[in-house]
Amino acid sequence: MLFIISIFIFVGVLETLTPFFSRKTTVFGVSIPEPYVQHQQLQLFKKHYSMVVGSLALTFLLGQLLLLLTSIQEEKFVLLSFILLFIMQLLSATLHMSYHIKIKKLKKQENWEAHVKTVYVTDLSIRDRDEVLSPTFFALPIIVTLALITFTYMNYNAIPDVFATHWNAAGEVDGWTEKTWISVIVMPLILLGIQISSFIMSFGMKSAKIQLSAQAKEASAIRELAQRKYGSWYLAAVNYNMTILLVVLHYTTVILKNQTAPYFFPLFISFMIVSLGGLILFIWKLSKSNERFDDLHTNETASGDDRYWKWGIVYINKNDPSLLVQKKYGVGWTVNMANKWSYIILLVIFLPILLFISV
Amino acid sequence: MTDFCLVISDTDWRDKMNIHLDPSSELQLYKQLANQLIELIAKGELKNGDTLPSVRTMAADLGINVSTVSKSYHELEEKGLIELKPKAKALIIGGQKKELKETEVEKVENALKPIMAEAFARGLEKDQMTNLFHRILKQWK
Repeated sequence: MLFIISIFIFVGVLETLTPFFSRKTTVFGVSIPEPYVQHQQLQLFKKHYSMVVGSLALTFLLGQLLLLLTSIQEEKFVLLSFILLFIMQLLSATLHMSYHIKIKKLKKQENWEAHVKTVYVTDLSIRDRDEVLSPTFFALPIIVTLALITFTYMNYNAIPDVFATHWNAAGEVDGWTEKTWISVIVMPLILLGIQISSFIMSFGMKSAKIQLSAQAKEASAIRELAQRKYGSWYLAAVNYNMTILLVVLHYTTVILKNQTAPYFFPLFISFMIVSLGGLILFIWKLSKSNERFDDLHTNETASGDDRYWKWGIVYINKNDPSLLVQKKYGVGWTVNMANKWSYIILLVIFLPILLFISV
Repeated sequence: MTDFCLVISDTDWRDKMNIHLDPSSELQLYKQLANQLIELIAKGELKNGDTLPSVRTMAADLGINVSTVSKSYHELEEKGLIELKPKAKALIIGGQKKELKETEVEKVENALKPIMAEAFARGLEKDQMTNLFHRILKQWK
C-alpha cells in the first residue's frame, strides 16, 4: 500500500509542476512569440493550474491516508487509489485543454503575431555538439532478446506444462499460463516490441529538429542539447533495466522452472527506482538548463509551429521528415503523425498485447 | 562536469555559425541562406572539407521548406563552393586559395561592375569606394 501511495505522490508532484517543465516559448502547448514570454497572464495561468492540480492531489492523498487508518481491504484500497490517480490525470488534462484554448484566445485578442517579427534561425555547429545516443545502443538489447527466444525454443520440451506469469505484492504467484508455442515466448515478445520501437525511435531522436530561439540562442541551444542527451540516456536506462528484469523473470520461470525466486521482488523494485528516479534526474537536469529571457531587446522571434499541433499534444507535419519531435507540453518526445513510421511504432508496441489477448 | 563543458564551448561558437533568415526582407529566403553560407566560407568559419547539415536537417532546424534549402545548396553547387552527392552530406570545396581562371575573374568583374557603377553614378567618391572595399575585405581576413 505504501508503494501505491508513493506512486500517487510521484505522479501528483509531476502533474502539478508540468507547466514549468516546458520551454518558456511554449505554454500549455501554445507557441509564445519571444517578446511575450514574460507576459503576466501566462505566469498566472501556470500558477493557477499548479494550485488547482496540487490541491486536488493533496486532498486525494489525505483521503487515502485517512483510509489507511481504517480497516480497509488491500484490494479495495489499491483499486480506489488507481481511480483517484485516473481522476487526477483526467482533470489535469482538462485543465491543460482549457488553458490551451485561453492562451490561444489571448494571443489572437492582443494580436501578438502582428507585433513581432518572425525570423528563421539556426546554428550550423549545433549538430556537431549534439550528444543524443546512437541507435547502436538500442540495437544491443534486441540481440539479447532474440537469443533468449531461440534458447527457449531449443529447450521447449523441458518447459513445464504450466508456468507462472503473474505475482502479487507479497511475491506469491497469482497467475498461471498453459504451455503453447506462443505462450512460452509472450514475455520476450512484449520486450522485443518495446525494444524495436525504442530502436526506431533512436533514429527519430537524432533527426528531430533542434529549435533555437532568436533572442536567447545560446540558452536555447543548451536547453535543446540537454533535453536530447539526457532524454536519450533516460530511455536507454529504462530499456536496459526492463531487458534485465524481463530476461531474468523469463529465464527463471520458464527455463529454471523456479516460480518464486527471492530476487524477483528486489529486481522489480530496482526497476521502479531506475524508471522513476531516472525521470526525476532527467527533469532536474532540464530545469537547470531552462532559458531565462531576461534581456529581450528586439521584437524578433523564432517561428512558432502551432499550425502543426493539435491541442498542443498531437503533432502532424508533412514538411518535417523526422519521426520524432520534442513535446510541446511536458518533457520528452512525441511522434510526428504525418510520418508512416509512427504507426509502425504503435503497431509494434501493441502487437504482442493483441497476440496475448487472442491466445 | 558536463555542464561546465557546455559553458566553456558556449563562448567560442557564439554568433559564429549563425544563420538568420528574415522573411520580410526583399531577398528571397533561399538567396539569404546561400549568401550567409557564402559569407561563412569567406570568413573561414566553414573550411574546405567541412560538411553542411543535410537538406532535411537544415530545413527542420530552420523551420522552412526542404525545397528552399535544396535550392540554396544547388546554387552553391553551381558556384563551385560545395559538392553535392546523393546520400552524403554537402561538402565544402570553396575557401582554399588557388589561381582563378581568367574567365572566372572576368565573371566577378562583370558582376561587380554594375554595382560599382551605380554607386559612382549616385555620387560615391572613388576614395570612399576604395575604403569600403577594404573594410569589407578586412572582415574575411
